[in-house]
Order: sequence, then structure tokens, then C-alpha cells
Amino acid sequence: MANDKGELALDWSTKIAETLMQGIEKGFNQAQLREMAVECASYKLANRTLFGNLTVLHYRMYGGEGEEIWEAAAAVEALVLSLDMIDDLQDGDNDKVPWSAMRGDIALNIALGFVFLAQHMLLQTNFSPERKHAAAALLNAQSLTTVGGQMTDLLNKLQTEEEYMEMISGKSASLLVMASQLGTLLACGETKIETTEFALQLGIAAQMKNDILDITNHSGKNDFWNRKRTLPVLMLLDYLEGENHWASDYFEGRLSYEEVKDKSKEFEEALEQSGALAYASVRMRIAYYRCLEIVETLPVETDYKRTLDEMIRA
Amino acid sequence: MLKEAIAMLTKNKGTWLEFQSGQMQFAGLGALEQRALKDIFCKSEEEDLLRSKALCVWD
Repeated sequence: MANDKGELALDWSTKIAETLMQGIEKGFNQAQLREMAVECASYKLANRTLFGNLTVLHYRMYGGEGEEIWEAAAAVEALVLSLDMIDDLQDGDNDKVPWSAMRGDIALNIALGFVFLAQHMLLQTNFSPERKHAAAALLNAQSLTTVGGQMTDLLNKLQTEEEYMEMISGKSASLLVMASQLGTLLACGETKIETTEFALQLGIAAQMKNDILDITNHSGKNDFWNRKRTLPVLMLLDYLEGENHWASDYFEGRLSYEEVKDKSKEFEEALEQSGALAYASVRMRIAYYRCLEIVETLPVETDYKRTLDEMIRA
Repeated sequence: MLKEAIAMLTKNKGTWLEFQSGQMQFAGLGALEQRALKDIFCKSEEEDLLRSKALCVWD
């Protein structure tokens, strides 16, 4: 064993969170920026740092032993936080997060700060220059994929399931791929296709679950009422096509919200009858089970596979 | 094939028991697809999945 088994059972979130907080203290020189960035990071880091954990685990899995991985994992969390913030600012639909209570221009500036803090922390690590360069290039390339996927999502012109899959692979799954590949790259100097595939499936499943919840949510944030094209919405529209249904008219803008706001019961019935929710739920589970299946076949020691499996299921 | 299976199970709830018991199978669907269908229409593992925090990273 390259690493002791006790360490594998740990959740590394506390260590990653501490390292990110140190990065904020060192990297953000302006007092208010630092203070508000700490507020944003504290909110984010109250939950498990899945992305950073994946980076550390892959680093260990592929033979990495150094302490410098903590800065790299914290950099990954900083980048994910920045993109979360930007996504919320663009959507304007998440009142729970502290950055929604901040002035928009300020919140955007903090998010921008986290983008550069991620690069800064990664480049400040003690990895060899060649490896740091490759890691920074990977971080940037995957981020560009994410921005491309986000653009497709914002344009909201998806017509088919294939387009939806391509969009969520870019927008959501690419960040999990990046987190896993970064740890692998820093450990052994190259990425591995098998870790890409499991992370891709996990990201797809997670985004589908998010979209399922967002069409069954009856308290404001609902993708159908917001005319947002996700998989369950596309399936519903496909089912209603040619039926001259009010839901199609509303979605295409031929009816206003005021004209249909009392039809939530009818909407729920149409959703049930269409099988759209069932289809999205089945597709989500297929991606999730495929992810677990790939983890089981990874060419690494059993203890690492078990830890990764637990990380995904927990 | 998956869409057809879901359409059948959605329209006719009488098929759920047959599917759950193994009397009815959807040839052409793989093991993962069958398992996922059972999760939804037979409620076999749904709750476990919904508790997975790894699937809540964008909630």
C-alpha cells in the first residue's frame, strides 16, 4: 500500500477547507474582498468538499504522497465556488446563498477573484514546474468546457435529448472530470481515461437529479414555469406535441404566466401521464449505476475503490 | 426501447407487478436499465439514491 488504510477512511473536507481559507487570507489583499470571500467560502465549505476530495483521492490512488496536494484540492474548490457563484448570479434564483444578498457587482468581483485564486494557489504549490504547468492547462481547458456548456444552457435553445446530454456533460460533469484528472495528473504526470468516464457519469447523474428536483419544485424555482429546457421539460413537450395543449402554448410564449398560473394541478397530471419524470429519473439512475460500475473496474487497489464508492454513495 | 418500456409502465400500472416479479422483461435493455426501471416503478432503491450527497453538488 502506498498510503495507510486509516487515511482512506477520512473525509478530507476539513483540511481542504482550512487550506482554502489560508489561500484567501494570503491571496486577497483588499480587506473587504477578503472578508466577503471568507463569508462565501464558509457557506460553501460547510458542506463536504466533494471536488477537492476527489482530487486528493486520485492523487493518492495513483501514487502521490506529498502534502502539496492540499493546495491543489483547495484550488479546485475555489474554482468550483466561483462557477457556483456566477451560475447563481446568472440564474438569480437562489436566495439561500450569501452572495445573493450582496450587491451584484461586488459578488461578481468576488467570483472573479476565486477564479484567479484557483490558478494562483495551484501555481504556488511545490510540484515541479512541468507538472504545475500541465495541471494549470488542465484546469483552464476543463473550465472552458464548463463555460461552453453554461453558454448553451443560458441560451436555452435545446431541442433534443442528445443536445441536453452534450450540454450537461460540458456544464456540470466537466468539473468532476477536472477534479479527478487533476489529482491523477499531479500524481503520475498523465490523466487516465477510466477516471474521466466515472466522473462524467457522476456529473450527468447529479445534474439530472437537479433538473428532476427543479421540475417537481412547487415553490418558485421550477424549470417548467421558468421556461427552462431540461430533460424532463423536453420529454414533456415532446409528449404534448400536436395536442394543442396549454402547456406547450405557455412554454413557447403564446400564453403568459398570468393566464396559466392556476393550472399547476393540470401541469402535475400532464407530467405524470407523459412519463417525462420517470424517464429522467431512470436516465439519472442509469448514469449513477454506470458510474459505480466503472469505479468497481478501476485498475487500482481495492481500498481506494471502496473509498471512492463510499464517497459517491455517502 | 427505454422510452417504450417507460411508456408501457406509465400507462398500465398493472404491468408493474409483472415487471417486479420477473414475469415481464424488456428484451433489449441491459441490466442497468432494468435495475433503474425497477427503482422507479417498484421503488426498490429510490430513497438511498436521493440521500447521496454526491448527487446534490448542484442542488
